[in-house]
Amino acid sequence: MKPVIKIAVQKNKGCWEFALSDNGIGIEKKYRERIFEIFQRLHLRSEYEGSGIGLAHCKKIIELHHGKIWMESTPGKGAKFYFTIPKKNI
Amino acid sequence: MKEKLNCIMVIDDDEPTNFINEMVIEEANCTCHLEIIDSGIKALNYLQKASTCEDKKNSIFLPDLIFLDINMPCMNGWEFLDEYRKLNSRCILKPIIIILTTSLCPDDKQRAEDILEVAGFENKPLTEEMINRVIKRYFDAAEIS
Repeated sequence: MKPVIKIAVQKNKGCWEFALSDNGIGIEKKYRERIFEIFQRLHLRSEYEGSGIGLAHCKKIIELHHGKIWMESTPGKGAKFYFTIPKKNI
Repeated sequence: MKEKLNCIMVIDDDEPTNFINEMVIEEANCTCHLEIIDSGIKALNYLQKASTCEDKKNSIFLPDLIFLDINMPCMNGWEFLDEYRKLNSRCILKPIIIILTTSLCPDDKQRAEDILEVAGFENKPLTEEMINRVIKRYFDAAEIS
């Protein structure tokens, strides 16, 4: 399947909200907090590669900018990640 | 000749670790059957099946001893133990469960000690000396099936 990644941004009151969506395997709702913890993975290495560092890294960076990061997903259809950056820091 | 355990189960998501564990356990020549399972969910399914009917034809045996990893995807070792407890209240499973982890964190050790179902806490790598020590401690005086 061809990967499709969409990136969008909107101006909210007090912050910029970025949204990135993909058409990947998606993530079940019950794991949506856990994926931001370091070394957390949801699959065996033999199924999908990765170290479990990426999203923990993102969260760390966003929080250093006093922003928020979260995601929405439909398993099997893809995931959409959001993050905000306060305007006063830009 | 020392008596062998009937079945040892190792629950670990990491393939290279399992490769080593398998080699070490076979080398130790301490069990008739070895079940290496790469996820907590699969292990629960196995235990459920084994507790309802030991299926010797398909070599499904109740393990005497389980080595359990903590950090695994989807269901970690602690979550496995929560589910195992629910399973165990319905069936009577009596394996000795040893946490086998790379974690040197004292909190993990304490947490393991506070869980009734966990008999011991060991650090990787699994060695023949460790297996023999565990077997000596938990099985030597007891009856070996």
